[in-house]
Amino acid sequence: MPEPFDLEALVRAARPEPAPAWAGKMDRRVAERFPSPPRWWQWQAVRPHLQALGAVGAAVAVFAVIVIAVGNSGGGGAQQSHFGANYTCLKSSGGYCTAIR
Amino acid sequence: MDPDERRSEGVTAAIVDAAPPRTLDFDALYRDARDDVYAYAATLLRDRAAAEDVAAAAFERAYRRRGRYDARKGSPRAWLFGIARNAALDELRRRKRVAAASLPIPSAEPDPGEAAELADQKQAVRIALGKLGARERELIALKYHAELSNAEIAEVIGVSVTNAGTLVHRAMTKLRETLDA
Repeated sequence: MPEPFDLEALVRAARPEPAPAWAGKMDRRVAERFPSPPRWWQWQAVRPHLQALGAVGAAVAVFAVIVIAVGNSGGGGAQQSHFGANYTCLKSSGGYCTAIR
Repeated sequence: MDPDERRSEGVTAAIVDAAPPRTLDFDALYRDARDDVYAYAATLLRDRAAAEDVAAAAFERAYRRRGRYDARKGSPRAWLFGIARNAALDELRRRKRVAAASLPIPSAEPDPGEAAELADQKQAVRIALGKLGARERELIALKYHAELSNAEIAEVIGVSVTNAGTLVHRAMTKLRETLDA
């Protein structure tokens, strides 16, 4: 079995060394000061999320259409609850509904 | 100027000369530490491709953060290895490689001039390192692959200098036991 000194020397000798191709690539990247990735790479980063982004956009659009449609209809005929009582709003009068029992 | 004042000025100049530079010479640090950072990452991760990615990420992060280096807080190598350690731990967490960490790292290409016995011993050490825990591999890599001092190791892993020495000694004892088993 290796003596203490020998073991340390063996561990040093067993050190993993980088592949020359990687070392060369790193040297170039450092010399170029780690250039930013090209624009196509940024597009690659966004592309996997396009479906989710599309779904969110569609949901927002549908919600906006519903809000606009409800706003234009004036809200007549809706069931409303006020202090526990149900009112039927038949027509608008100013900012309030006229309740008919 | 009286002699005392002149002496004081001389002492101040000597202190300024002796103080470590505040700014980081990134190119010198890269040349000095490229292979050491790779060896550290490869020993810790047991994966050459992941080690290449981690070492590259560490140097890029170090380059972008070089303005934040403070010589009063430690050596450039300790600062760099702190960044490399964070990148390596991120990788370990991301890939959940802890369970697979016992896989022996592929042996390096044999040196034609190297004696067969030495090559066998080196391979035995690599396999034994693979059987250790990530923490022990890390300590051995920092000490014997990256050649960090105990003070630098202490700074990187966040323990006292005495504790760092003890931890390295225990890791080497465990490596020896694994080799003997």
